[in-house]
Amino acid sequence: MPNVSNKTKFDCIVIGGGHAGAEAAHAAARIGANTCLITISRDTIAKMSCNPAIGGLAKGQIAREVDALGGLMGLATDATGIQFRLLNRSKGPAVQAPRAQTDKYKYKDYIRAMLEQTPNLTIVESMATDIITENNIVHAVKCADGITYYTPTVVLTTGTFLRGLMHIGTHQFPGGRLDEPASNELSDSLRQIGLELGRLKTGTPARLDGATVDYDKTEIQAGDEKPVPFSFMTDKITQPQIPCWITYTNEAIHKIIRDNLHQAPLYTGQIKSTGPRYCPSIETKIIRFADKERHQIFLEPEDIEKTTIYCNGISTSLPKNVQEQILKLLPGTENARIVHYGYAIEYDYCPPVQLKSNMETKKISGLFLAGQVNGTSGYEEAAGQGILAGINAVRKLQNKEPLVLGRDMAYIGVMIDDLLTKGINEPYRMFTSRAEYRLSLRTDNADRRLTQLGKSVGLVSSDRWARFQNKIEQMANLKKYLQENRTEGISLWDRLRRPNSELAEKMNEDEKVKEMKLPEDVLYSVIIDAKYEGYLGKQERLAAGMKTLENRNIPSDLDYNTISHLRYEARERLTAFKPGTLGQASRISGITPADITVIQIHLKKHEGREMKNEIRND
Amino acid sequence: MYNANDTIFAVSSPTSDKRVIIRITGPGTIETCRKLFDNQFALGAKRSISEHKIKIDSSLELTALLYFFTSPNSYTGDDVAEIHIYTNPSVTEAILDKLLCLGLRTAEPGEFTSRAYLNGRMDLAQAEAVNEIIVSSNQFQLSAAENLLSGKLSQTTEEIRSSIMDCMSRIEAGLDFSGEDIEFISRNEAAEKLTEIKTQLEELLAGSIRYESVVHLPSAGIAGAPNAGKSTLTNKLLGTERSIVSHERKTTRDVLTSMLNLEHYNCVLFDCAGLIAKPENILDELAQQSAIEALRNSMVVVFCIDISKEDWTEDYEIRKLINTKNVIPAAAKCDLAGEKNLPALLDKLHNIFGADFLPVSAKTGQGMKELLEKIDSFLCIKNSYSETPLALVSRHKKAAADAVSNINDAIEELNSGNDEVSAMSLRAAYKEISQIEQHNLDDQILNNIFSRFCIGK
Repeated sequence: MPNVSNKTKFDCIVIGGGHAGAEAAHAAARIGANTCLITISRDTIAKMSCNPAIGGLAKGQIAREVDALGGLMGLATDATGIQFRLLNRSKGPAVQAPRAQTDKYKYKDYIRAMLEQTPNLTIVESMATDIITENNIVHAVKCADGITYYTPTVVLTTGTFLRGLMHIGTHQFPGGRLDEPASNELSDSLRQIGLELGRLKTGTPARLDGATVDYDKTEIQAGDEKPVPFSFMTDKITQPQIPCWITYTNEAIHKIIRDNLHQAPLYTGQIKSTGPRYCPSIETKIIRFADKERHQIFLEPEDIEKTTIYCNGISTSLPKNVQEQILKLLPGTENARIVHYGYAIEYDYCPPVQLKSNMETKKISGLFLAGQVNGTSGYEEAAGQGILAGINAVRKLQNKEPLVLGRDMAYIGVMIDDLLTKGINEPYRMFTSRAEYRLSLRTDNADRRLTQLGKSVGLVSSDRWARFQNKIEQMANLKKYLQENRTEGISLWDRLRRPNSELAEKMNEDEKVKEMKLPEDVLYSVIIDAKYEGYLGKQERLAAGMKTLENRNIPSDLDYNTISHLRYEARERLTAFKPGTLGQASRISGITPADITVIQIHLKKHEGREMKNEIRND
Repeated sequence: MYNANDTIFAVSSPTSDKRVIIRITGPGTIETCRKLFDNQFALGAKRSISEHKIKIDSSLELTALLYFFTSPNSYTGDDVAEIHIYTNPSVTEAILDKLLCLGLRTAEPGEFTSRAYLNGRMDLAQAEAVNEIIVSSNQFQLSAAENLLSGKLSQTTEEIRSSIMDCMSRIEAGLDFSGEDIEFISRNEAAEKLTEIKTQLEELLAGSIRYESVVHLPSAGIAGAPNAGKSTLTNKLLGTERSIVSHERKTTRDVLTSMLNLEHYNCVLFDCAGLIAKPENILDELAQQSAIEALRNSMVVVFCIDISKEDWTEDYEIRKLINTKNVIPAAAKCDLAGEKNLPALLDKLHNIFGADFLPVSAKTGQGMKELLEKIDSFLCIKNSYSETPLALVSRHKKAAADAVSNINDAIEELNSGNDEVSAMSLRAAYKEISQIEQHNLDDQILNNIFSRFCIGK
C-alpha cells in the first residue's frame, strides 16, 4: 500500500463535470462522502454543449424530479433562465412540461459556484486516464498529470469524450467537444478492466454572432408571460426575459444540401455509428422527408445579451463552406458571422445492460456510470442518472440498500429500467410515452413522489423539507374544504373532477379559498389531483400484471443454462442481462412471455424444493 | 402451474374402434420406452414407427405400435412417444400402472398443448384452436376451429391491432412531439378512425356470439308413456345397448343421456322415464320431474306411442306434458300392428292428436332412417349459419368486448380533449387485442386456458 496522503484519498471520485457529473458530485458530497470531482477544466463544469435549454416534454418532468430529490438543475435553470415556456398547454397536465432557454454562460457559472460551496467536495482540474481495480473492485483513479487518487467508489460521467471523433465535412479529428481533447486512454482503461464499449453518434448546429442576425426577417416566439419555475424552491422568476426567433429553410437551401451529400459524413460512410432518430441532422431531414417544403429553425439566444445564437433545427456535419452557404440563404442569417461550425461526433459508450439497478457495473464493484456514457442523450437524462449514481455510490459505502426508483415512481426510474433491460440502438431520450404510469408521473407532484426519499438519503436540505411539509399541509386543508362543502348537493371536489370543470378555472373566486391565501402551485396541484383521481385506478389495473412480475426477484446466481425448457436464444440474452426481477426479464427485447413462464415454472419448482428441504430439516 | 420438467402421459379418448393411444412426453420419454419394451427400443430418425412386444404380466404379452417423434420435431417440442394398442380397459390400466411405477405422472388437462406453447411450437390462439378441435362436436365447429388454427383469427386481430397501434402512435406523437410543426392526427380524425376500429371489433364479436351458442351440444329427448318402447327405440337409434330394456313398466327411472351421431350434427339424446298422467308415489313424481326438465331443455322431442295398444287416452294426457316446440310424433312397435292395419291406425292417431305420426319399428328398422333425418333437420334449422364466424372462445369474446369499451372511452376522452387519458385507454385496448395471441404475461390466464384442454392432443 503506497503512502496515501489525505489529499489524494476520497470516499467517492466523480470523473467528468457535465450535467451527470455535477449532480453526482453534489449529491455524494451533500450526503457526507468525502468527494472529488475530476474535470479537465473548472470552467467547463455544467457546460451546455448543445442546446442552451433545459426541460421540454418528458425532460421537464425529469428536471423536476432531480430538483425534488435535492439536485441542482432546477435551481440553476430558475436563476439563469431567459425564456420560460410551459409546453403542451392544450393537452392534459400530466403531459405538460416546462422548458427554459438559459443563459448558458451564467448557467455553468451558477452550477460551478454551487459545487464550490458544497462541503466535502474537492474539484481537481485534470484528465483521468485509468481506473485501477483490484480483483474487480475499484481502487484508484490515475490522472494524466501522474497523480493517483484512491477511492472505493467512482462515478464515471464521460459524456462524449471517450475516444471522441469529430466530423466537419470530410475533415475528421479527435476531440471530446469543441476545442476540448478526447479521452482515449480512459476508454482503453475501461476495456482493460473488462467493460464492453459501443459507439454512438450525435451532432450540433452552428452558433452565430447574435449582433449579426437580422431578427426582423424572422417570427418572434415569446416566452410565457408568467414563467413557471423549475424548482419547488422558487417562488417566482424575476430576471428579465427575451424571446426566441423562428425562421424556415427553403428549396434553395435544400438544393445545396442535396448537391453536397458527397461531402456529408453521414452519407459517405465516414460516420458509422447511429445517431438519434428524434434529433436528425438537416441533411437527414431533407433526404427522409423530401416532400416537405420547409423546415422550422429556431434561433435561440445562448445568453441574455444575445452574444451567441444557437440554430436549433439545423444540426449538421456538412463542410464549413456548405454551412456558410446554407446560412446565407436562411432568412435572418444572411449576413450572420459563424462563431462555431456545426459538427457531428462519434464517441464510446458503455452498453448499459452491464449495469445493476443502482447504476453500478456488474463487472466492477464500486464503479458507477451515469449520463451519455450509458448511451443516453440530454442534460436532464444525464442529471437524473447522475444524482442517482451519486446517491448510490455513497449508499454502497454506507452499506445501505440502494435507492432504486420504480417505473411507477419517476421518469428517472423508467429511464434506468429501460437502460438496464432494453439495450440501446440509438442515443436514449425520454418520452412520456415510455411511462406506463404517465398520469401519475407529473411535474406538479414530483416533490410528493420524491422529496421524502431525497430526505431519507440525506440530500434534501431542511429548507426544502420545511417548504414541502408546508405545501402538503396546505394541500390537505384545501382538499378537506373541497370535499366537505357542497353546492347543489355535489361536493366541490366532485365538481372539480368533472371534465372541463368550471370550478377549476374559478377556484380563486371562492371566498373561503381566497381566505386560505394559498400559493398557486398548491391550487394547481389540488386541481390536477382531482382531475386524475378517477383515472388512476384504471392506470393501476393496466400495470397490475407488471407489478406482480416486478415483485418476483430472480436469484443473481440463477444459471439459465440449467433451465431445460428455455430457448437457447433466451438463455444467452438472460445470461448477458442478468435481470434482477421477472419484470425486468420480461422487458428485455427478444424475451417472450413463454420464456417468462418457463422461468416462473423453474423458480416455483426451485422454491418448492427448498420448502421441502426445509420441512425435512425441521 | 405445471412442472414442465416432468415426463407425463395421457390416454387419448378411445375412438369407435378398440384402439387405445397412450401419449408420453418429457425429458424421460426415451428412458421410459426403453424400460417399457425391455431395451428393444432404439432411438431412430426424427420420426419412427416400430412394432414392439409389451409385457403386461407373466401370462400376457401384446403387440404395440410405437410412434416416436424426437425433440424438437414433435407436437410438444419435447420427445413424444405414442403407444398404439388394441386392447381392453383392464389391460390399459395395467400399462398405466407400469408408467406410474416408472416415475411418470398423468398429464393435467391441456398439458400437452401447454408444453407445445411453452416450447414455442404454437401460439396461444393456435393452442386454443386445438382445444376447440378436441371438443368440437359437429362439422360446423370443426371448420371454425380449423379456420382459427390456420391463423384466420390471428390475421383479423392483427389487422385491428395494427390499426389501433397506428392511431395510438399518432396520438402519442402529438403528446411527445407537439413542438414540431406537424399535426400527427386531429382529434376528429382520430375519433373517426377509432369508430371504424370499434365497428370491426363489434362485427367480430357478433360472429363470436353466434358461435358460442353451438359450443353447447343440442339435445333431443325421447318421451312417451311407460313401456311405449322409448328405450328400445333409443338403443336402436344409438346402435348400442345403452338403455336397459324390459317389458316391465317404468324400467327407465332416470334420464339416460347418450351421444347421438347424425349426418350434420352430434347431439345429446335423453331417454326419459315414462311419463304418467297421474304419478302414484313420490318415486314416480321425482322421475317425472327430471324427465320433464330434460325435455324442456331439448331442442327436439320424439313423442313416442305404442301403436299396437289401440287405447291412447293416457298418451293423449301425456302429450300435454311436453311443452317443446319441435316434436316428432312417432308410432313405435308398428311391426306389431301389421302392415294392413297401419294406415287406418295412423289416421286414427291423426284424428286424436292432430299430427302425423311416423311409423317406426326398432325390430324391423322401419322408419329409423327417417327419424334420424328428422332429428338432424330440426337441429339444422336451429343452427343455420351463412358464414363461419371467427372468434371462438369466451376469453376472446371478453377481450374483444373489453377492447370495444376501451375504444369507446378513448373516443370520449379525445372529445373532451384528454389525449393523454385517451392514449391510456388505447393502450388497454391494444393489450386486450394482443392477448388474443400470445403476448400475455399473466400466468393466471394461462392456467385458465390450459385447464380447459382435454388430456392429450
